[in-house]
Amino acid sequence: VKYREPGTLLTLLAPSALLPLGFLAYSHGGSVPHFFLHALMGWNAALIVFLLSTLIGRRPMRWDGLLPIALVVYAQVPDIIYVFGPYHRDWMDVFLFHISLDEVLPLALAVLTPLWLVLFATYAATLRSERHMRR
Amino acid sequence: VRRTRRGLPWVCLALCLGVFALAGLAATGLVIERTARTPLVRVGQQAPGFTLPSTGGGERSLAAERGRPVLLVFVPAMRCATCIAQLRAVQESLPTLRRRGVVVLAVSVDTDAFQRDTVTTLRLDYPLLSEAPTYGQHPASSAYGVYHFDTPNAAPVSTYAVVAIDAAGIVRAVTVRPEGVISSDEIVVAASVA
Repeated sequence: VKYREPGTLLTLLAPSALLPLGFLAYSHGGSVPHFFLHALMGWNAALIVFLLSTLIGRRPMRWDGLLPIALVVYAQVPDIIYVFGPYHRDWMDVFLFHISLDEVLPLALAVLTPLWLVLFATYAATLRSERHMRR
Repeated sequence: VRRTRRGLPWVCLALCLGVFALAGLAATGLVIERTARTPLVRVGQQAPGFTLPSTGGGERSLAAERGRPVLLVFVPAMRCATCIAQLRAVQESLPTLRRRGVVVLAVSVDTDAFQRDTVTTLRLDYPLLSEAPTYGQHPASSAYGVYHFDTPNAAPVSTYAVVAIDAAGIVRAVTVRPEGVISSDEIVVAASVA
């Protein structure tokens, strides 16, 4: 049996250390709330995937941290496209509801922030439980 | 195993909460985005008032321009090719409009920082007014019925539009062109009725 390094909170969070670069880009354009909106949406979607995979018995992996940042970037694709010219269109809701969340930004931030805390705490607890079981 | 099973109800609870919250949020946004359309402003009606941050500094309001004809220009954004062409068309018409004493104000849902950058880059001599952040706050474009205009490829921005308002604050001409640029000649003609 091959030994595989299990996922930890550190490996989960490490790739997201790149997010401040995105924050700087958004703050330069004066749209900090939009950065948090789509970053939280990407992270929450990733945490739902992780929790769902926990339910079906998948073990956390050391590369899991790439999923949140990949989904954050995916959620921000319309803004990346906008930098090159084309403005937002309704169909861009395929990028984790980018357009519709923009429309309800204050409500979305008020929901997504506590939701991230709940999902993250729950997933952190499952990681901890996993590590205890391995010992 | 016992430990895992003990935690499972919490995982299920968090999952349900997460899925329902995200689905509810997306559905709310989708419904608002696609139903919050307002009727286009009509010629002869009182022009809806607004106060917005201006790239010229401070805020500009329509009420403060009473006594002078105003040309209100709506553009979807600052960076797209046709948006830039529209902003340049307004710039081209500016000398003629200024000779006639027309005040030119352009509105978009971009942030004021982004607009200031555009004014510098394109060397625009008229103020851009910001309706950002976009969340349900489009006091001008919603009031004039040009926000999220009903087109086949609809967008959560203002469509290309020019509204001429006379010195008494009455709408005298409305030109809407979702597909693209309203030329400088058309702008001058529209402003001439104000």
